[in-house]
Amino acid sequence: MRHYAPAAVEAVLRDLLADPSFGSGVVHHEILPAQAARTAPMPEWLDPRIRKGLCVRGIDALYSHQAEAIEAVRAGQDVVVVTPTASGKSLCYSLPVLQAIADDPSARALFLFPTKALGQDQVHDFAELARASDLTVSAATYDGDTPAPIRSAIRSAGQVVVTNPDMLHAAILPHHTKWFALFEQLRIIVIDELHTYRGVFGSHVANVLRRLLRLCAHYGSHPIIVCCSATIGNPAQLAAALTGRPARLVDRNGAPSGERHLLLVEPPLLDATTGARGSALTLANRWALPFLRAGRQTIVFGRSRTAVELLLTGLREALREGAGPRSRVRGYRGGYLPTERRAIERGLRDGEVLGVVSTNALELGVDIGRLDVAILAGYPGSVAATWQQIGRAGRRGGVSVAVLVASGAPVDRYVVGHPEFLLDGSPEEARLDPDNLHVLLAHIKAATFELPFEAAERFGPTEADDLLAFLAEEGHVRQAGDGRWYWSSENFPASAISLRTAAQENVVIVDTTPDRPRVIGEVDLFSAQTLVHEDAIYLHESAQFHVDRLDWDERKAYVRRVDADHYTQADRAVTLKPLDVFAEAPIGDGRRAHGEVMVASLATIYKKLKFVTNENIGWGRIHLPEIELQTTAAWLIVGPDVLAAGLNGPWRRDELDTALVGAGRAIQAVASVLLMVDPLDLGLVSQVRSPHHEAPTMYLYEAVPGGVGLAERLFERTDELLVGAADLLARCACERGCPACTGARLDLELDARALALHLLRSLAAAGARVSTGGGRT
Amino acid sequence: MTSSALLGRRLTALRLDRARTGQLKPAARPLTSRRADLAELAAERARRLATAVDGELIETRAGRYIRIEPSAPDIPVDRARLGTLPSAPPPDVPLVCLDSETTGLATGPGTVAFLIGIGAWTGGRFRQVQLLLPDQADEPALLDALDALIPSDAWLVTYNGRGFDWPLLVARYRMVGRAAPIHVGHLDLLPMVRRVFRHRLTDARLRTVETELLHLDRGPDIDGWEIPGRYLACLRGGPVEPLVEVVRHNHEDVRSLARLLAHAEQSLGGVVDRRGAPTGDLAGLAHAYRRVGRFEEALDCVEAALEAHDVPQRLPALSLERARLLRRLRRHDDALAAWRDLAVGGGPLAGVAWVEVAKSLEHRRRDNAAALDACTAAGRIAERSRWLGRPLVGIEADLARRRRRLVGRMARAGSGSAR
Repeated sequence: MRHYAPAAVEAVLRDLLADPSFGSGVVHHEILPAQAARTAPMPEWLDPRIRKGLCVRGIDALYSHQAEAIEAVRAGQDVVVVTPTASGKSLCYSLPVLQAIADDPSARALFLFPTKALGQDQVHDFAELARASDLTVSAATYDGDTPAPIRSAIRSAGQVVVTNPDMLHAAILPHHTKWFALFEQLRIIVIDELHTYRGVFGSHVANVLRRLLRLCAHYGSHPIIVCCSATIGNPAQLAAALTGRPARLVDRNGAPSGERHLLLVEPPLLDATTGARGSALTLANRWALPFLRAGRQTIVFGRSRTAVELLLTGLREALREGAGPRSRVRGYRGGYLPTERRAIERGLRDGEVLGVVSTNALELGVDIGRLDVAILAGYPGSVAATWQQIGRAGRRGGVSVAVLVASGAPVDRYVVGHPEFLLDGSPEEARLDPDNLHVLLAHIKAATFELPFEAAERFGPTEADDLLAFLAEEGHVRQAGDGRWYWSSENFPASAISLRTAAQENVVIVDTTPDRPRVIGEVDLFSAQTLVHEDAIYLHESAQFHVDRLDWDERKAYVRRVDADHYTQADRAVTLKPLDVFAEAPIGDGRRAHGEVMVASLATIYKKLKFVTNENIGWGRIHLPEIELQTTAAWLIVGPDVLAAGLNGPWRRDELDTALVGAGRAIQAVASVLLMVDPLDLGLVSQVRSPHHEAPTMYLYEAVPGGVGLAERLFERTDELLVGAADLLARCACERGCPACTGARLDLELDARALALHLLRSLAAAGARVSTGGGRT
Repeated sequence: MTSSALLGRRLTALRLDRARTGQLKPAARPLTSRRADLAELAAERARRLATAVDGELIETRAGRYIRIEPSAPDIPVDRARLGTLPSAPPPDVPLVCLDSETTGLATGPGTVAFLIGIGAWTGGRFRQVQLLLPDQADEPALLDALDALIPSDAWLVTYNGRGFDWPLLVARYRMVGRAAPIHVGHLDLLPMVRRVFRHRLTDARLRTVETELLHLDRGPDIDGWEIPGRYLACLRGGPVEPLVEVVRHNHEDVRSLARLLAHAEQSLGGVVDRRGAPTGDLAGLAHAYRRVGRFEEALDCVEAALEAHDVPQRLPALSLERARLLRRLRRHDDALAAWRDLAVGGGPLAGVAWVEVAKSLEHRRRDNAAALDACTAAGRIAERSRWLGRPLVGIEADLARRRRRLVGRMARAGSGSAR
């Protein structure tokens, strides 16, 4: 039964499925058939030198999606390319850029990658292709690590500038007069890993791009934008929201793939009353071992740094492999040195490394070739990330296997119960709101610093004058005698904006572990209450830090590196009041709406929870002042028709309270899957009798000042959310509600699951009556 | 709801919130956005400004600016003598002293140079012109006027102008789609002050140079950090009077540039005269000459400083510098003598000097035995230093290699002669 000798992937899989201890946990088994390559000949117009360069690198025809993309760019169209991992996406932009430079050496291109490391990989690959094509192209990375003397050379002579949005925002755009060589001749802007630009970060980057395009127009250039994305529900829409321009979607993958098996598995149920299940990590290792023993290259993804270390230790013990650089099973995560990472990547490509356990650090476009098996210990949090991780397995020929092992989280349970979410690949969307007021105002400041605004000039979809007038009242800008708006402050606005958060005021996190304390990040005030209160365990790049001191007035949190077995979760007491309704619709006799709200939040206590098991091992109080957050929310007001029909006659108050909380939790979990957001980005407030509406109300608010447009989507998709949440509860194996469905139980007397389920079903039915009965008002 | 209407409502809500929490101060004057009103406001401010600073308001097609011409003092500079200084402009080119006041310290396109002071010599007279920007919209006119004041064969004279003023002006010209005025050279006096005079000043700020080096007192003055705020307040409708002091400040700064230049010429320009300059000045000047490859003049300064012999603690460093310069000038015998003097004299640099003596004897004189003796002397010093807890690691390593080589060579030579 056990394969200690090399064996084929299909043989190992067959044996595993035949073994009941494995087979019984398989909830779904999908076979994705092999696909042959679809190619297109090299276009005639492609410079012979580039064709030769491709030949040297073993490429004599293009995949159909590559050909489609480069033809579109040649025709002057913006393009968004959406194909799986390792399908040759980078050629879709490398070729047009090389061609532009071959035609005219003064042409320039700008490559944007979300992180530094990816940029460096790509500049290397691009330079290799240029060299093979006998083209002298100066391609250079411009980021925080670039030495000063090289910076000025890149500014004046860099034909391809590779950077990240943060650098573009803080170092390039505000000094554009030094970069005029780039701006005057900018032909192509490449935005890789498009799917990472969502939420607050995406909203910021959209505004950075508005600023970039505004400067291009000033210098007289009209660059084409090429975006590349992993599979998401709305790539063209995301590209349009990010760049403000329509893009042509190229999503018919021409790259070949072998047969692929996708298995969704669940750990065995241990206790039906609590709904407890076995560990996902243990099960993930049980699945990985037989493949590793059979000599098949396998990657295991863990969700946290701790998970990676646990998985790695387990695998090495079972395989009797030593630790250290000679081991054939390696770990790969944030915090490893770049040289170490490169060695592992090389080892994976040439087969020296047999297995690797990784966090999502390997999810992005790092080149490690293709492996035989991918095991995901837990749902990575989004369909896009799942497909990126699954995509690591998949030889061009032969069979590959991907196994998703569900953890105890409600979201995991939901995904495993709904394979169609993964397989259809369409319901999940990446959202951003470039017109979030706080984000928009910050970038209009930066844009005015860069170039005065003409009267009635547009920034995004609307004229900027009203916003500029507001900034003038605050003293940042002024309208001069010619009607233009000029920057009129001594400050340098870009330095006050961090692209990774929305609030203007942040708490800086200082790591005191090294001899010289260093800043490792920042969080907005609202999140700071629950993330960096004293004694919190703050997770940063999957490392754990203990918060020793939070200086609220100075906005500084002092943290220290620790290796704890637990993390912390803070509770906040939240009161919410609606300020403005943007849209409203009936749901039975009740209503659903979205709009602007004021959330007042007071962090109260925190719990210490053990990793993996989520077991509660202690708690403490938090002493911080209350803060207010103006944001957007979607809400649901339960109508009299639903209230009249409880589980046992009309709803009792205590029943309704339990049901609202349980239903809210389930909606929160499903919403985070549908909208591709972290569950922590959505806050929940349920009121048995709302002071504002005088009826039971459930609010889901965005935990980001101003919101990023999630509330509107929640409003639009209320029906789906209700059905999905009811389904999550119905499928849960627990008896009366558990942390995986209704959340921790408030009242042990009541059957939280049944109550919440009944409420959700009544609401869904009421909603259905409305939509068949005549639609929205 | 359309996105712009939604945005408008969110903005209104934010305004109310800011007003409620007192974050938003009421505007200084009613905001107006009618183009005609704005233009009239700007014209009126320009007139008031011109009157306040006693300048002439000049209207051009590109906009308006205020031209101020303060009285022209005599600040004679002997250009031939000035020309002998390191990195100094040749005697026959026009000099343009330049200093600007800006709306901030960030060197990005949002920072504007709103007041530019220029000074140039006609005959012995130092004539100053100041250009003041009455509104950001008028910048093209100001830049045109500046262009006309900088001849294309001129050298700029600034204080930290290489790092700040000039790059900022280049950016300003770039913003209006033009190239900055052509000029031939740029003498930034800040590095010169740092190198030559800093040793006897509290710091290297121009104000300090003025009081401590030139012994001038400009009277009441404002601090640099106040300047952007005063100008921006005026643009926002505040009073124009606070700018009078800013204009005077700039005027003094430009005049100080000329005086500093004159001081440098008078105290250091003449080869004979400068021999009486303070030792520290001469050492710094020697360094400056050496950086531009003028070793003869550097040596002359060092020797003058050594002759003065008034700052004993500088002596070893100056002697070392002298020996190095002699070597650079290929005066090997003199260099050997200088190294030997330094070595025999003992002191902290004796070890280094003995190594240099050994090098010279080995490579120039080809006298291996004498070189070995020098190594032995150096070795003794290194040994003593190590014993005192201050090992001379570099010298020890050098000596070990050198000794091995010399001994080997002498052994080969010895066996060769025996055969």
